[in-house]
Amino acid sequence: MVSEQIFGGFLGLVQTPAHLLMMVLGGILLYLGIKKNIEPVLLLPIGLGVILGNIPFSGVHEEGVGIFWLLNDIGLRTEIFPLLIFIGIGAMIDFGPLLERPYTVLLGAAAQFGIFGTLLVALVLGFPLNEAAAIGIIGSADGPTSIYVAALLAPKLLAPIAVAAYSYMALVPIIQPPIMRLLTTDAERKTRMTTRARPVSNTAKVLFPVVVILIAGLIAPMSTPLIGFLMFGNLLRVSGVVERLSNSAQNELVNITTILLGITVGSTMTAGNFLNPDTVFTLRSPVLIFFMGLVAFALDTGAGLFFGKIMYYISGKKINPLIGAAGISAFPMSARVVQREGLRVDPHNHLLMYAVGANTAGQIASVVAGGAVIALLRG
Amino acid sequence: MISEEFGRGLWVMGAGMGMVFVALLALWLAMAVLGWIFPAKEDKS
Repeated sequence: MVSEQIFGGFLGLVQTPAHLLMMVLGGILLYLGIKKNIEPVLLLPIGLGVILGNIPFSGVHEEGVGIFWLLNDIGLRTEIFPLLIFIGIGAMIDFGPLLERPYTVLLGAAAQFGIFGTLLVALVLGFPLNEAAAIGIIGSADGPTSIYVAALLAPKLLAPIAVAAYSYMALVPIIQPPIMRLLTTDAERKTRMTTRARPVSNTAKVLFPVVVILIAGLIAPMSTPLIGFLMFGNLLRVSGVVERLSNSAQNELVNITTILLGITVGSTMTAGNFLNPDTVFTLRSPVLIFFMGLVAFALDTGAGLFFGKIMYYISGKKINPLIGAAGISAFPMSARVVQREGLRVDPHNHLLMYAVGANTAGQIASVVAGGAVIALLRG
Repeated sequence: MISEEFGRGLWVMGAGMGMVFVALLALWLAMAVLGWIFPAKEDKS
């Protein structure tokens, strides 16, 4: 009896070696975060969460009392964690470049095609529609939106979707350039954009978040919580009268919530959820979900570039199609990738501010797309 | 069965992209209106 109590954990591992496999996976995530510096802010808490969540008989998942059950219930099932992070993200984003170049807003819309294209691919592979939509939303290239939608439509797939969403965001500098070079010509990439930035008043900047809430909320009402919290954070920033709150949202709020979100998402990657014999050796395995994330990001980038090319020709070759790739969201990484690719073919071609316009439009578009998916499948 | 689910998926795709484009086109229009009502020169005062 005493030995059972002392060695219970070891016995549990022997009886269900899948837990051990999951702990190894947690170790790999820790390795990637710490040694390879891949999204360490998220992979570190997720990796440790996986290890903690798979220790047999620890009681961390016990209904009503286990710490991870509580965190999951309070933060994920209620959607509070992703929404709190959105306040911080909103406070970090400067929508000025979008307001100065309003036409870039369309590139953000086009680059959401990957969400829906991946949804169709997932359907073909045998996922039910709700799960296919949750997988497709990895293409929003936005962690909190992916988690928000997945928690509502396919809670069992939350962990692989969250890991895929954040991992591919870190891999944007590797995923996007080959697609950019494949889908655009040298002449297109060399296009210098000379359109002047439209001066924007402070009043317009302050009113912008409220206008976005009203438009997105009325067209896709289910996106109201996400867009509302995102734009609330932005209002803290642009109002100029609550700098202390804006700084807290950008730092303390985001940091604390990221810690709790990461470790809670990691804890949901239990052997029972992740290595389910009904799915692990089939087309619906978590490994495939992870791969589908790559499909989503590639389709997003391709669609953004395609729309960029349309604008290139409509504008009389004045718009560089590369900025379309920044419409995928993944703020601010994809805008930086566009700038780098532009400079690669012409060292004096600076596309950053145009790309940031498309990038911030992508942030808004991805939230609207998330709300649209929820509305269409749950409304 | 698969084709019925795929058909629903196509519908979600069409309606979803439609909602995204309508929202962002409305946003473009709103930005133009904001710029027209509150031009940048007001900040010079």
